[in-house]
Amino acid sequence: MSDTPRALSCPNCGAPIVVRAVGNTVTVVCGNCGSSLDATDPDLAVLNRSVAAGARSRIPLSTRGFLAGIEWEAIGFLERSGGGGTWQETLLFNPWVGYRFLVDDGETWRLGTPLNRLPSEIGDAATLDSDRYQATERYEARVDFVVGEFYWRVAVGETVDVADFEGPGDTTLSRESNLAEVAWTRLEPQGEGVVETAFGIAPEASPQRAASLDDPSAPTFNTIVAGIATALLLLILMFGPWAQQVLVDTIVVTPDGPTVTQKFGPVVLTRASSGVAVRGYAELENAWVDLDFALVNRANQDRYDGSTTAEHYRGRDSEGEWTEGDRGPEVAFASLPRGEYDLLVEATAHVWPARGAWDAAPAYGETPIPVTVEVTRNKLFWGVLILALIAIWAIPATQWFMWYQLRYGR
Amino acid sequence: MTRIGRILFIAWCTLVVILFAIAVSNGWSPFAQGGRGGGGIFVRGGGGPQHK
Repeated sequence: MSDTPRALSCPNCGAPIVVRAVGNTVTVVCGNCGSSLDATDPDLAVLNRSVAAGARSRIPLSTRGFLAGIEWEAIGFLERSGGGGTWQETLLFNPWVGYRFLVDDGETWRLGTPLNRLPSEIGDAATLDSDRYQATERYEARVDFVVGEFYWRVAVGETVDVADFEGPGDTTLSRESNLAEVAWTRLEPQGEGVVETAFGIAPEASPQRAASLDDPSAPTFNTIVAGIATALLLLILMFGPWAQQVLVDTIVVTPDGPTVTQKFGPVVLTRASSGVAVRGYAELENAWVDLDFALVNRANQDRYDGSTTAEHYRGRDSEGEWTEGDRGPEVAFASLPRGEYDLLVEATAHVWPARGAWDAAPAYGETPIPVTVEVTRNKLFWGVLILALIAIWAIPATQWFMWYQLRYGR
Repeated sequence: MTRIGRILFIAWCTLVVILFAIAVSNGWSPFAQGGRGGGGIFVRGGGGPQHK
């Protein structure tokens, strides 16, 4: 290779052009007018007239920097798109070592080495130097912007088929192919700030780093899958058994009086297995009612027990009025078998402050408290839905968090 | 994300949806206090307010 740059001028716009990798460069793209020029022609014949438009490299052409102990010069720059994202490639050149690529996907700089040997590819895996690489994505990549000189014919609009393979230590293999050739590149991630330091460029985020959520590294696939799964959950709720109130009755209990026991029913469960909710509601104040429920199958006397307390308190302290308690708590019974059930209710009421313990008069006295008992069958347990949503969204939510941290948390 | 990762996530979501459908159809909940498979923790209230 020759290391003597050759000074020419663009036949399209007259701008000066320097060919650095003389003898290797096939295409030169004028930085002024964007025309693709044939570097193998002494007169730089115009291959393709195009208007230079698009992004600019973070590493200006002709900039030199040391990476891995070798001095490189940036001689070409490409912006490409495909697979739902865009990225930038800077072609580096050293006359004694050859070419390297610096690929900036908006998240990580990767140093790409063109391979001079073929990895063995079987199915979705490729093996190179006994390291196994797994295929991750396949897409078509298009050149959106190009400037500088290249060792192959390149122009805006050129497309290649790309297959990415993920290997050990975040190293990736990239296979680019078109009808004419197949090229493999091994890409190694560079540490934070390494490239910026090597080429003396500003560490601030490039416009690409503030890109939108269509970044190919964003977990959009899992988000879509989780969204579909959530829609299916809602469909199941719509077409599943609907809750139905099957019993409403009242039991009356006297504060600090004896325990009242009453039988209600039947509660008929028609499905092979049903969720049932029993709710007790009392319009009380500064009092509580202990409620014990039992659903007893008339056919076999199988019994299912549950307990709760209806209570409500009100008071005033130095911070003002306060209230607490639930006047209408609910007891859930899971998966009860089909059949007719009796509902046994035991209720005991008390007032607060307790009689004799405080000088204050009891809030309720001997006034009986009516407690409304409601039974709902085919009860939907929201806890199950919340559990399912957590199970579905935990992974994409974690991925989005990590993605956000990587992108904006620097 | 690798292809195997995507397949595993699809499989995981499918499993969750199927289990949810079974739970809804059978009225099952791990949070229910009573019934079959219910095991929710119940702490009896009453006795006056907790307000200090």
